[in-house]
Amino acid sequence: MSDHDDRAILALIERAGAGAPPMHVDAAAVLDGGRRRVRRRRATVAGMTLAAAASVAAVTFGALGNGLLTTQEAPPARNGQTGPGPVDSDEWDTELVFEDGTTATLRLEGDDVVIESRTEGLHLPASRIGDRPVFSTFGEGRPVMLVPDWDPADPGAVRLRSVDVPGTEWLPPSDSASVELADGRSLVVLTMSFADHGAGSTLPGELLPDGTVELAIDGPGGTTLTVVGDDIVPTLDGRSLAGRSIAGGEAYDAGGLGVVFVLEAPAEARLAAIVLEDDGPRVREDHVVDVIPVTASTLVGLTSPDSGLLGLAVESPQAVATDAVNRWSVAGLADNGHAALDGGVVAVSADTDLWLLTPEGADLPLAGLVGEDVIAVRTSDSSVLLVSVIGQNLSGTVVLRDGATAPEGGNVLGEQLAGRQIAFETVSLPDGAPVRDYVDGIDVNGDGVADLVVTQVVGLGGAPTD
Amino acid sequence: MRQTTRGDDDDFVDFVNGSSPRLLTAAWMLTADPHRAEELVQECLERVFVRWASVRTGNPHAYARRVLVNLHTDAWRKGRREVLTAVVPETTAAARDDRRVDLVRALQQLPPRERQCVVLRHYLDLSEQQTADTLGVSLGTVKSSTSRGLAGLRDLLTEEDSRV
Repeated sequence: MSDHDDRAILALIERAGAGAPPMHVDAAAVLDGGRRRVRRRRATVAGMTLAAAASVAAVTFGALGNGLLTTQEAPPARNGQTGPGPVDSDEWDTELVFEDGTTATLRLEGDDVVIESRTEGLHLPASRIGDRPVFSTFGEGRPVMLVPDWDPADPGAVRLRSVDVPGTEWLPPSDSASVELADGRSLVVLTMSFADHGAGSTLPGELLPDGTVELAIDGPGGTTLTVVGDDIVPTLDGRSLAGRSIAGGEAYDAGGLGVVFVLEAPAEARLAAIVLEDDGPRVREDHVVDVIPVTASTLVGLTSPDSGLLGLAVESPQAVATDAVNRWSVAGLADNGHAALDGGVVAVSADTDLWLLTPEGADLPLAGLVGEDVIAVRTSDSSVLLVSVIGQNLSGTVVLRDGATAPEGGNVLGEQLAGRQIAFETVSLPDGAPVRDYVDGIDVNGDGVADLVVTQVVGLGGAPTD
Repeated sequence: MRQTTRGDDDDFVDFVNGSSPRLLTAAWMLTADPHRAEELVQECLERVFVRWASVRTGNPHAYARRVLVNLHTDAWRKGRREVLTAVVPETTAAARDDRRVDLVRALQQLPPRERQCVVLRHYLDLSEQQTADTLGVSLGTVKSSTSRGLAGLRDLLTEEDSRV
């Protein structure tokens, strides 16, 4: 396809968007519907809380050998607790009934499965509904239950249904997904085909399309798997999974289709201050003030492939924004004097502390270059502008304007900043023009970074101006 | 679970009003059916409300996009609601632009994953990584599906042109 064709189609998409038929969603109706869902969920959570309070000492799953699943102590059981009765989860056709303080019953399409709720470990498919295994685990008292479905039209695909995942998610064969638990752990799910491979054989194919992983079935019945290959397996959602032997119970062979469940410990990250110095923002080893677990309860922040986690701290390091590696997200709380935008620009006022989170063991970034794709630019008023350069050739002049509309060819970065619309203007380099390798006088190494000058950062916070 | 406060509700209503137009248009591009698009977005936003206390300080727009595509994917998997249409169900004065109609019709001829990639990348202006995160697929899948989707659109639109 020629560039011209591409441009024509992209322009057509934009025009089609502008010419969409009149559609409307009534906010009041959404609120009503949402409240009904919340009421159902609250009933569910009430039952879950009873089960969590009744938990007893957890067990250790030592088979992983790397301490990922640790022994945890939980409050003693309160005998005789009875849950609030049947409740339904709108994520799938399920009733969750807590019969006493130590067990839960998942009722799926009329069949009951009793699930032990005492441990934080991964519950393997000892339970079944029909021919479907039920996996579950608990994090901070919240159960995550996975019921793989097999798609008759696509026998290699698996659908996972989880309390903590919106909707359902289908995994194609040889794919992976993860469910992040409330305590920061992740349940990583890999699927693969066991077809034509028996016990004792080695699966030569790749487990992951972009990995170099082999799976060997080295136990009878095909129930013990070993991940062979790179020490670190990149999963498709940007996480890294350490190679390891997988104990029998963590893999499920469903007539040729394998599903492997691995419970990952929370990531740890170093928290370092970005210090504004005369010649630009700096991060040094002595700026590291803490190492914190990355949990789902922390705020979402900016990330980049190199620095991993970029956070904007406010009053407490624990409130620092975090997210999984290699994922760009929104961060920031407007009422704490800073805000971040999905799409790549974060403006931080001079009186707001700025923190950088890096994965434990990773190199601290160069001054100014927060990550391969993130640049910290000090502006004339000593504020800091963080610029994402992922997939963008930025050049010319950057202007953040209150209430502005994106100009032709410009990019709207995020939908709001401190409650206001902003626009982000870029001027593209002529075709073939060399890409400059500095930003506002600060040397950077990222490819695709063009000359970028911050000419104006209009006051953040406050009411919209128009 | 944190109680939802009136302030939360106000914020959420603002979020609904601010995000729904773009979500609706994206859903329309995915389904070619404005009524179905409204249903999808209504359900999507109700689900966002359930998580509002935790997602409001993060990236509610990204969360909403992911819910939307999951709902669309689920509907497509179920095969109940999504039917390939030879004619876009409803047009407006604006949509009577033949090329726009052709485009939306052509989008429906693409495999759903390619269609999602094209809409997320080139209508919602998500990066490849954001698209991968939203769809829960690899970066490579996004690149290849988007490329195939655009190529498919070009072929389909060229075919339409040749019929005229």
